[in-house]
Amino acid sequence: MKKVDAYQIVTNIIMILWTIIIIAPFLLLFMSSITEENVLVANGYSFFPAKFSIASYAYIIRSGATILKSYAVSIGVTAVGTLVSVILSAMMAYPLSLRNLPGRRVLMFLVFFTMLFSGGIVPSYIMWSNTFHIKDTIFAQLLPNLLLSAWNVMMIRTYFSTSIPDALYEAAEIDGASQIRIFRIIALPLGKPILVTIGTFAGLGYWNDWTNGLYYISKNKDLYNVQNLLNQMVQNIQYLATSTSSNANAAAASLPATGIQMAIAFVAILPIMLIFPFFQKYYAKGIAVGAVKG
Amino acid sequence: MKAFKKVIAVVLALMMVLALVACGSSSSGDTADTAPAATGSSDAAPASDGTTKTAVGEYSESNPYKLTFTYVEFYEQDAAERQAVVDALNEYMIPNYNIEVEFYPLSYTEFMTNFGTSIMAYDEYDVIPVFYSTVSSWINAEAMVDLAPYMDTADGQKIVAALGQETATVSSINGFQYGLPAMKESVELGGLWMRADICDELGLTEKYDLDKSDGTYTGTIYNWSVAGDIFAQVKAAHPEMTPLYMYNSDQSPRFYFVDPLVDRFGVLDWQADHDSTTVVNEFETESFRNMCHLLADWYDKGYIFGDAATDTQGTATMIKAGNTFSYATAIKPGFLAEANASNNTDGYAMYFGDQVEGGMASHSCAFFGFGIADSSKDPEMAFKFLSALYTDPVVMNYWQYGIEGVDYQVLDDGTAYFADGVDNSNFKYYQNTGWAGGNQFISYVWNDGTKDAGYWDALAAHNNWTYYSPAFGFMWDSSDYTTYITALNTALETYRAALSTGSVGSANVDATIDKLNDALYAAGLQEVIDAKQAQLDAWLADNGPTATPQSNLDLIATGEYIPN
Amino acid sequence: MSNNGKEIKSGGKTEALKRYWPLYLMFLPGAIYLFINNYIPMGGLIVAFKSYSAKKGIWGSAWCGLDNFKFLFSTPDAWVITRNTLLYNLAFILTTTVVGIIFAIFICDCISKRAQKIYQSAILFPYLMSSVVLGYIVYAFLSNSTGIVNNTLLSEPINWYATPNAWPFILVFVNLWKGVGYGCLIYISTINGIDTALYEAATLDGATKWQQIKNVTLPELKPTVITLTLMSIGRVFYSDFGLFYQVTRNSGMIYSTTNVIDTYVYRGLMEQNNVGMSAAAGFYQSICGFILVLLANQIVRKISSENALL
Repeated sequence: MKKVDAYQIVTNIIMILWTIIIIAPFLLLFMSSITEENVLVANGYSFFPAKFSIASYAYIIRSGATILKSYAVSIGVTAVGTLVSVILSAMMAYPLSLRNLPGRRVLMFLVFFTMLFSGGIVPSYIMWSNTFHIKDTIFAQLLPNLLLSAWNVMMIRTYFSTSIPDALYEAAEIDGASQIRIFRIIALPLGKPILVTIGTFAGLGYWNDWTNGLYYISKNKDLYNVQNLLNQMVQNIQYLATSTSSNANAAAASLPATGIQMAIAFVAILPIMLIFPFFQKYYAKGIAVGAVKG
Repeated sequence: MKAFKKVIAVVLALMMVLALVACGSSSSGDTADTAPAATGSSDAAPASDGTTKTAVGEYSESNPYKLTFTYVEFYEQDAAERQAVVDALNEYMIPNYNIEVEFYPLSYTEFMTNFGTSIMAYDEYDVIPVFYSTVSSWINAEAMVDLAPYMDTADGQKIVAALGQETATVSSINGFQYGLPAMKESVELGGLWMRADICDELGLTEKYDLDKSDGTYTGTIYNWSVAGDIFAQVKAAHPEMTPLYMYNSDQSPRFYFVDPLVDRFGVLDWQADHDSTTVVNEFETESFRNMCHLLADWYDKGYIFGDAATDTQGTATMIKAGNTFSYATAIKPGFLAEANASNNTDGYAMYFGDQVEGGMASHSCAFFGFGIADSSKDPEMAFKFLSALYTDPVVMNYWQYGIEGVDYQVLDDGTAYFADGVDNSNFKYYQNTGWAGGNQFISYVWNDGTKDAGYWDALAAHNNWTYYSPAFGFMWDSSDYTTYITALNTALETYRAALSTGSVGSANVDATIDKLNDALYAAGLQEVIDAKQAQLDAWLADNGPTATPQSNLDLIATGEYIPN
Repeated sequence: MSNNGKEIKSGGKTEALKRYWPLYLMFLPGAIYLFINNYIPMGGLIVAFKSYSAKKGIWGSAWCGLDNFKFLFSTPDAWVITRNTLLYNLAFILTTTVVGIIFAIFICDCISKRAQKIYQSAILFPYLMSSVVLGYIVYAFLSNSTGIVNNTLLSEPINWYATPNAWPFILVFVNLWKGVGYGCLIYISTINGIDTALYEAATLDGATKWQQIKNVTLPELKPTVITLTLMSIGRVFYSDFGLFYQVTRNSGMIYSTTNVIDTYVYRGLMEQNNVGMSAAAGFYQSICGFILVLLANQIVRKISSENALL
């Protein structure tokens, strides 16, 4: 078994340093969200603020209903979207991983091509809003762009074709299992590490997205997700404060200040940070392929 | 590779065919529907029998035209209360106009980002907000209705009567009138907002009679060098303080006036010659160079906020934080009370500038406004509503202030304020955005305790302290020069922030201005200047140079203008 | 037979089709989505060759030849933005791949399961930070007057947002900080999928740690690395808009090293809503990426055909 040697010590030190580099900005974000606004503006962000204040969080709690609604949208859309995304991606990736499937290269190209070319926002917008009428429905947060990424399909397909031993398929074929069954009992369980990984990224994609809300949620703002709220606030300030209209500048004064933006950013991140550890067990498990084979 | 080529060919062919089916059907359908509306007769007047006939349809109280009124909501409103206001407004609109209005508020971010996409996609709108610098591409994409023919109708004439011929038609490019401007103060007289306690402490208040000014322009205007002296005193007394907050937003109109002819690439150097109609490069003018030197000098002396070139926090945030003394700003009647409220700090306003007054240019008047989307099912009805926004106080009051007795009350002196029990912290409906569209001069004056019924007159009079640019009414059509404008903007932005916030440093000003001009000419500035000059000459041939109204000249002549 | 790609039992084509039609069925739902979400709007690319009219729509607008492409090429910035885009992307691909693999190996080898979990979560956290907020955080470190770097680390303050030469390093680092997690996690899952018997055999042969990495881990990672890199090459003319716009605070003074095609197009066109020119820019970026990826794929095919993407 592995033992604590120089290699372990060096690698762990490097990883600990990197972890600190990653955590520090989040800590800074949190500290600035509990720093008194005036101190924040006058002295800048600091890990050790001179004066604390929870006014920003008080503000968020006061506007509770809006935030809660947006949380519900974010969580619901992320859960459903991720699930559908993983299933669709895996189903698409599996046939592509079979080397002799007739037409495989054509199918592969069709998938890959979508990564290279996109029609731009206006044609997409016209199609989704005029043909499919998703504007101001929950589908607006769910469907455009995020549901399936060719990139993820390719990653799963590479994993299926490289990390699952041929012998397993051959054994199943000899047993007369159907292709669907082979997919279900061999590819899916053995592909768990990549499926969880891809699921994580699909989930993060949904959680972080604000463009769909921006374009396709117009009149029914109840369907805004957390990121939409945050971005709306932050961008309104940027646009208004730097406008060449002095009246617009004045309007910026009424918007929530920096501390509140930081607090909302933190609140938007928090749930995912809390959930991560629970997903950990799915990644870390190395799958003892050898055992399965035997 | 052969197989690939085949695949590619198939993919491309498929793409085209199916896109044709999916996208084509919807957009060609739209075109067919709206074509007659766009070219329909525009002088169908409302009949007296209670119905309104247009080229497209006939509307009555029982069958009103359903209209989408899109506008920018700068302050967050309560959605339920907004709906209540809409319902109340419709009780007035339907019998009087045969129009049923639906409000469609946009946040400023939406307006500046995705609303353009929606316009490009020909989504159905009626009255829409317009911004002078983006509208030319909307016109170019045939997304706007030309209001010029409508201005001759009875409704159009009402607008002209209310706004004056020049203002009513100022939002025009190449004879295409895309909208009506917001009625507001359009003159960029400017100066400093300064913290009152520091001014008192340093004796500035008495020296410059600061407490006598309520922000209304009285004719006293100081040279910017005076500001330098003030900053020096502040810096000496309070070394921890930033004497002047500037941020990444162009403040050059505070220092000199040129008619930017929309985009600053080729301007009229009004500062050198009020009557000049020769398009020149602003960044080679003396005014620009002087401003850069002045600011760089201040920056070197530590008067200007160190992060000015990249900061976007805005003035109120900085003032509230307590270590900032002043900021440069446009000043209008009532400015001081509003600024003090949003800064949460008492301050004084002081006018600065080299010239007596600013000049009036097309863009400052036409900055924000309303127009009609070409996708409107019935532009004639949309125009009726647009006209109401400029001529019917009832409509403006509903939109701006909500329902009387619920959201606001009318005070004895004819001004309006929040209803009892409502205030700035808990209001449910209060737009207060007349400066961004519509004719706020016909609505109630909002009396926050510092204004009276004569406020709109004061605001309008503010516009009288000005000379008009000879090119007032001209807006240049840059649509054939997008390539140049993009490159020019990149060139300008590379140097602008450093120059216009002083952070470039005195030693580098001249060299940086040279680099800026080299970059601009490399990006095609001369071609743009030439094209602009040609358009301006053609416009001048048709319209002649705009003269400053005699009343303005008289006022300026009698003004108690005290240099320095 | 290589172990890359599974063989379907040989037989006649019709027989194969008969037996494997369920596979096509599996492929179908995803294909329908890609068709709707990606292929149909792709037809809109033809507005790159049109003078767009909202009223006439994509198909009704008049043709204008290559006019829309001019703005990308007839400007003095064309060279700068193309160079920046390509160099940044190459640096990004290189750094995230190398560091990603190193971190993945380190994490997988870590004997403390608890530490392993912490590293693995941490490496993903940056994905949660929107680029707007990231821009604020970077500013907190680099701002002139209140920045942590200038206030605590340097005696002589540097005006970072006016120092073009610093930004290639800053942006590569920020991109690494934000982006290393994706590749790393994929590599971790690939390493976790490696048959443990391979390591056991190596250990029995007395292989050192480095030899194990060189002879087992890296070869097993190769297909994944190639797939990821090939796909990245296809996007090499695009860039992460938030990184180049928000993190630089759109500071003009550093355009010479931060202006990329996407930001240039955004600044020039988005506010102008010029549909035709935006499409032209996208078309140009896609075509160049497409050619590059086909070339790269051919090279991979020559060297190790089983790893080629297409």
